[in-house]
Amino acid sequence: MTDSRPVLTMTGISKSFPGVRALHDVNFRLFPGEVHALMGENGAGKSTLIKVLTGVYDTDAGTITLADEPVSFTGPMQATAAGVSTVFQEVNLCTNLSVAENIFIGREPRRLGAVRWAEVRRRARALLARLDLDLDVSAPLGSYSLAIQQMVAIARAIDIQARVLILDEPTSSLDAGEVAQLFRIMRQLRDEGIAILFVTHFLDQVYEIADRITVLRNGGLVGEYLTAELPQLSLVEKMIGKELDVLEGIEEHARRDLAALEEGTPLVAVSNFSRAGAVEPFSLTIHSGEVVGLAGLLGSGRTEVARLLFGADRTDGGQVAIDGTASSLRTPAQAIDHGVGFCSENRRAEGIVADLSVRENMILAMQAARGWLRPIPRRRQDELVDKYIKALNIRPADPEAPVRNLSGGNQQKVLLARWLITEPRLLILDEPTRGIDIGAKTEIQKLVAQLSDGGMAVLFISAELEEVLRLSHKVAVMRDRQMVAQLANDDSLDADRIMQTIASGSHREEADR
Amino acid sequence: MTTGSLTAPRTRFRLPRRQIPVLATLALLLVMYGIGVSQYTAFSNVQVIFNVFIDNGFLLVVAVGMTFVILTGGIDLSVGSVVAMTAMVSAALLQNGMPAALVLVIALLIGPTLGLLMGCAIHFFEIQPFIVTLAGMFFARGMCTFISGASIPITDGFWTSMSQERIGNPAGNFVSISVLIAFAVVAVAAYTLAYTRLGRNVYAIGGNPQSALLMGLPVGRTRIAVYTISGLCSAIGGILLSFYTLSGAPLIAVGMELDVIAAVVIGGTVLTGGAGYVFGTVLGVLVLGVIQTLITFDGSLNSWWTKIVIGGLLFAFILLQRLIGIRYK
Amino acid sequence: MYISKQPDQNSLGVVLTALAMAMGVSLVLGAWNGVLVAVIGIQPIIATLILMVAGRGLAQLVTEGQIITINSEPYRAIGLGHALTLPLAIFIALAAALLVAAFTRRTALGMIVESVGGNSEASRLAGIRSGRVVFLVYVVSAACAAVAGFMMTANVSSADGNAAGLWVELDAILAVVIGGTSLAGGRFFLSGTIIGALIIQTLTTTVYAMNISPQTSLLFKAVVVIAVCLIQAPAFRARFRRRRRGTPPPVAIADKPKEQVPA
Ligand SMILES: Nc1ncnc2c1ncn2[C@@H]1O[C@H](COP(=O)(O)OP(=O)(O)OP(=O)(O)O)[C@@H](O)[C@H]1O
Ligand SMILES: [Mg+2]
Repeated sequence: MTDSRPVLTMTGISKSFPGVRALHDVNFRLFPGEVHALMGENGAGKSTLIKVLTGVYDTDAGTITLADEPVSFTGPMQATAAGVSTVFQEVNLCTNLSVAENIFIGREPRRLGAVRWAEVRRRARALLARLDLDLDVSAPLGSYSLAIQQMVAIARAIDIQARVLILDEPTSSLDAGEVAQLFRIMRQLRDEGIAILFVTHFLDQVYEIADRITVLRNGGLVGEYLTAELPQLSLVEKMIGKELDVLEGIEEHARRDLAALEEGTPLVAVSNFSRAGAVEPFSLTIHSGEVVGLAGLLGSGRTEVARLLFGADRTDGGQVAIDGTASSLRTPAQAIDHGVGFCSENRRAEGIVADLSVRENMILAMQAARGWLRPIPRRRQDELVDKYIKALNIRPADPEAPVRNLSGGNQQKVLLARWLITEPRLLILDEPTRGIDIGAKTEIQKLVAQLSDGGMAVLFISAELEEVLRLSHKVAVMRDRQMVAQLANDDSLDADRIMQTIASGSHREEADR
Repeated sequence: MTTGSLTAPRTRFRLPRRQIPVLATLALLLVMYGIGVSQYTAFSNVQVIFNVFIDNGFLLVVAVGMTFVILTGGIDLSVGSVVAMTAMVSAALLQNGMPAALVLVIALLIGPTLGLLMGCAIHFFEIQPFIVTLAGMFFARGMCTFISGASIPITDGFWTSMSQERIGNPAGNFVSISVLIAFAVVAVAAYTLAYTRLGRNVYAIGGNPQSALLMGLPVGRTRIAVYTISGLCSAIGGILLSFYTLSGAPLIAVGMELDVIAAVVIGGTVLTGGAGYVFGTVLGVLVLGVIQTLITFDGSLNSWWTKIVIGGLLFAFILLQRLIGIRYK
Repeated sequence: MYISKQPDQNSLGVVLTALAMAMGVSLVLGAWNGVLVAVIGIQPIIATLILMVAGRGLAQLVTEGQIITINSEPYRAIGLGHALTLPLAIFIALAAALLVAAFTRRTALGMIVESVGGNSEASRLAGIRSGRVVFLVYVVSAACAAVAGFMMTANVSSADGNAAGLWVELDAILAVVIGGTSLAGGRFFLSGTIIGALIIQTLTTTVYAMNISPQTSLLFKAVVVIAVCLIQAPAFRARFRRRRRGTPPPVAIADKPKEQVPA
């Protein structure tokens, strides 16, 4: 495998944006029939390398050869034509088009110039079946959740007859099941001799699938290693340039006495909230200082629960009591008035305002709560923004940089900061660590633990069960849009038991309420 | 970890079923027609409908071109002036004794050429479509007055025969050739949007231009194409207008771009792009046409009341359209 | 925008009441637009088009199709008066600009408007009541239009329901867009808008002053507008610089500007 010639080599690649050196003299090679992981912290330059390769950006210096031919693509269109198929970070599809069309647009089967729609749909269904997905392929893509959109993007990429397949954080919002499907297909393609470039922040995924690892740090190349020869700890060290402090302390946090927390009136108590087509009626109480985890498979209704609690969608019925008094949560603005914050999983569509600066994005929610007549004094803004840029290690640490120029993970941190600044009493975090590197992830987990010790309630949603278990005092389990159980996070609870609950869906007797 | 097959649920954002806006428009149009019939007996004459088409054939063609542009999220303000310029050029060339066939070819080339240039400026120099096409509008209108300050009549045989030819049934109802041409344009456009790659790329770009680019679609080429198509439709519209009026006047079709945009948007196409149908545009043009006809049937209104009533009718129509849309969401 | 001043007295009081009433009417009309867009959710271009057609009709209704001459001295001063040797109109325009600037940049309104324009769903989820913001924006726009209406009618000492302010909307939008604000929403630049307005007015005046025949004046305008925008367009400048550096772009398509793609 390794003694053959690389199908792709990039040498001496440099790329600067105004004020930022995103890549500096980076070399990268990709062999046929291998899965090659590209690793690095948020903002290390992974996505930029991929965009330079596919011609989205021009290079400042360096050469790229594909199958021994020097190439310089002018855009993804050319790159695809030359056999480089890419799933870019974030879902880059058109939500107004149907699922089937998103998979095939640009290379639809045609007869005499006319698109054969029946054929398009048939092939789309077949392709999705390979990924174990059963969707209504003529429904608009926008009617599906982000994770499914991500799967559709993957389906599009693997259907292209390619020599090189590039996947930039394809697994960031997928569950274990989907990741397994994806890996099965990746192995299959690898065995067919396709070279696969894979970016992720999940170390165990790297060790499961990758044959080789290239590490970037701060836009520079650290090195290229065989996975088998690079232990996990030294990989982390190479990525962050120093040793990582481990997660001790957090574990103990979660295992605290739930009963003590649940004394007194709950901060928020909802009963029989529901929304047709999204979630069946559910009831949930959250106390101050409590972290409630929400576990469930993709499409089980986790995000929908969060949106109802925040008033992002209207409920069809049910009551809510805040501090024991009946209230309503009908709009986000109302929820915020009650001290609820919500960090959406879909940062591009529902999170950042790309035109605005880091500072403006961070203070947006706080400013909205104060009303436009009472602007936050500039000094106070700068203080807050600086504090969180440091706390979350946002790079570049420039408050006036437009958020659109930040790397994906750094945008996520900005969003998180937006809500932390408002000091909510209940913070709903929907996949807050999505696309965030391990260093920052630990920081965020510590922060959540710290905030809940300080009395803040948190509703924590994550596709990673380990993360949910580590932080939560109790775990609500979702299945088929029903909340099937609420489990206290005591010694008997582990990932396997949650998975069992999800699978059987009948552990009501274990519900602690 | 066994997850089995996922029956992927449709979550959130239940988009309104896509045809509903168009159907609502159609229903309201019928209601409006019904009101017309109940008020004025002559309204029930089939010829009234045909006349709406005859009077608005050129508007329809231009609106079809505009639909392409708006679907990509752009806008073309030059259409009215290009229509006028095409009519002017034809009239001037015919006056100079050029053969009709050659005039047709030249007139039909001007619009797309200007459209192509504007498309290139928009794509290559990243200037906002609004500015580029506004400049195009100034340019074309300037050319009109440059050619002649006054109206030029057309006496050419081909033009007069096209203008007078009536295609009808024995009952005496008829349409003009222009209407047939307009229908042909509508059919071709509907086919293009639904069944060709160009058409699908138009929707993709309107949905999300950055995604379209990253999906490897020819964003630039498509963008230039839609402005060229709009230019071509304006040119055809200009010819149809000159059939209709048998003259070229420098100040004809002033402000037409707003009517055209209104027709497209009333037809359910979203101004930010990505959603809409040619059929909707046909309905939009009909709505404007029927409102106009209602006003002329009344005949008692003076100029300002006409405007107020047009505004009022438009308002009632759009309000109902919107409310029906919300109901079915 | 349309002021019918029957009591053509010179008394300041009458003028002020007239101004206040006209301003009140404008605010109501702006509120109407705001409701259509923000509450009912009609596409803005259509919602405002209704008033554009009907509003002119209303204006004519009020004036009964006549052009009303205004003989009130204080009122004419708005358009023709001088202060410190400079026309009063300059001060009014300047004051309007400063007021709006203060209104947006001293409060958080500017940022909130930009945020709603940039990503309205994200803004809603950040707790911004975007409906109110949109509503407010239309009211502000109407108020500014009213002031412009005062200035325009005072300048020519008459109110013509039919022709006053015809096509002003296009010029106004053009000024904003030349100033660097995108029609799609997001970041706005008041100073750019002022410069844009100056450019357009300079252009109009130049066309008069240079005695360019009306035939060519539009052509002239087209050329200047494009030139101004080309100079501004980063893509154009980048290309120009590259040419001068003497590295011809490799292939025709290779010349295509790279689009900014968020990470
Ligand atoms: N269009 C742009 N303009 C300016 N700076 C940019 C632009 N795109 C990326 N950058 C900067 O380049 C650096 C590298 O970004 P890149 O997106 O490649 O990071 P990444 O390794 O993919 O990180 P993540 O894991 O968060 O996705 C970052 O500092 C980012 O701010
Ligand atoms: Mg990235």
